[in-house]
Amino acid sequence: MAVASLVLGIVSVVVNFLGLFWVSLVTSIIGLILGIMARKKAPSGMATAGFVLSIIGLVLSGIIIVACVGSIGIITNLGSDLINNSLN
Amino acid sequence: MLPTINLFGVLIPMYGVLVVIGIIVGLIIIMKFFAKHYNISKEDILHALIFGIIGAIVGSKLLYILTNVNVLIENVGNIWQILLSMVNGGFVFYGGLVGGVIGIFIYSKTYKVSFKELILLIVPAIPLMHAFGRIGCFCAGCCYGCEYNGFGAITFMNSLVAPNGEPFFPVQIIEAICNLIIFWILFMTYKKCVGTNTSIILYMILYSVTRFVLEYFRGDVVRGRFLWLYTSQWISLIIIGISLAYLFLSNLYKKQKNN
Repeated sequence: MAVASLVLGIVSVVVNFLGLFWVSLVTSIIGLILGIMARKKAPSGMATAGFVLSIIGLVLSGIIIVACVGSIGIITNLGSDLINNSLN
Repeated sequence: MLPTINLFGVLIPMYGVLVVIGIIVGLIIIMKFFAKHYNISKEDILHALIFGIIGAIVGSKLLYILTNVNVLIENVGNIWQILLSMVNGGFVFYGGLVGGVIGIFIYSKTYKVSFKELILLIVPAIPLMHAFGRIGCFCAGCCYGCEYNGFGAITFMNSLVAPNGEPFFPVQIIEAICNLIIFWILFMTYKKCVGTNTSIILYMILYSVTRFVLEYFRGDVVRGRFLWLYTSQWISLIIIGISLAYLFLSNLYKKQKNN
């Protein structure tokens, strides 16, 4: 579980820079759950690293994806476009 | 007002930034002021809060889709396209609140931590986190108020959501201030409420009444509506009813116990 959490944590951080924010959100959520399970079962550096990386992935994707009901995706889509344009 | 900020050449949406800041500030307040009153490790509090956040993301998205289910029914032919746009769309606070509670419940049952104590720890910080979210709404221009020309009217000039150039009631700022007042009340009464459900009931009643009233001052047309009230007003009424019923029954139980 610790290895899976670490891998998903790394993926969740990296895919943010490719503009795949929804992939990052999903992988960071799964990575966090696995990281917490691993930390509770047998605390290790790998589990903590996976946990921390998943939090970073969740924060990065959350900043872009989280939008209020009133925005109806305008902010989300525009935010993604703006970031993609900025990165390009 | 300020939908995005430029960070090292990358444009970042302000709404998400403020939501994340709100969660971090809330977590600091919980750890520094509330955690010492309960026998729960800080690690468990952090883990439970993360489970709550995950539940909140899923719950708020599900309620958003449910409130727009009529759009899905009307466009059955394009159901996948509509569903995809909804997945990219907004989040509803009440769905997040219920989802968050379910997330914390799952954590408490899985790892044998007191669910009641976790909720009592986290609830007083929710209005503080929510206030940051509402300031985020103000920055993005979403959840805007009704047309209004009086004192404090807000005119958006570069909003991505609200009509630009028209004066609106500053409902986002008013709700943020109300949330801060609710947080202050819960913060000041916290020591007296340790171990009891008073903080939860107080928050539920205060926020539900605030939300019910402020819904009348909102001008955005995309909220779900059933009969003569908006979805959030129905939910507010249900929560007020449950809270009052709890107060009545607990008083009745105390009186019977004393007799």
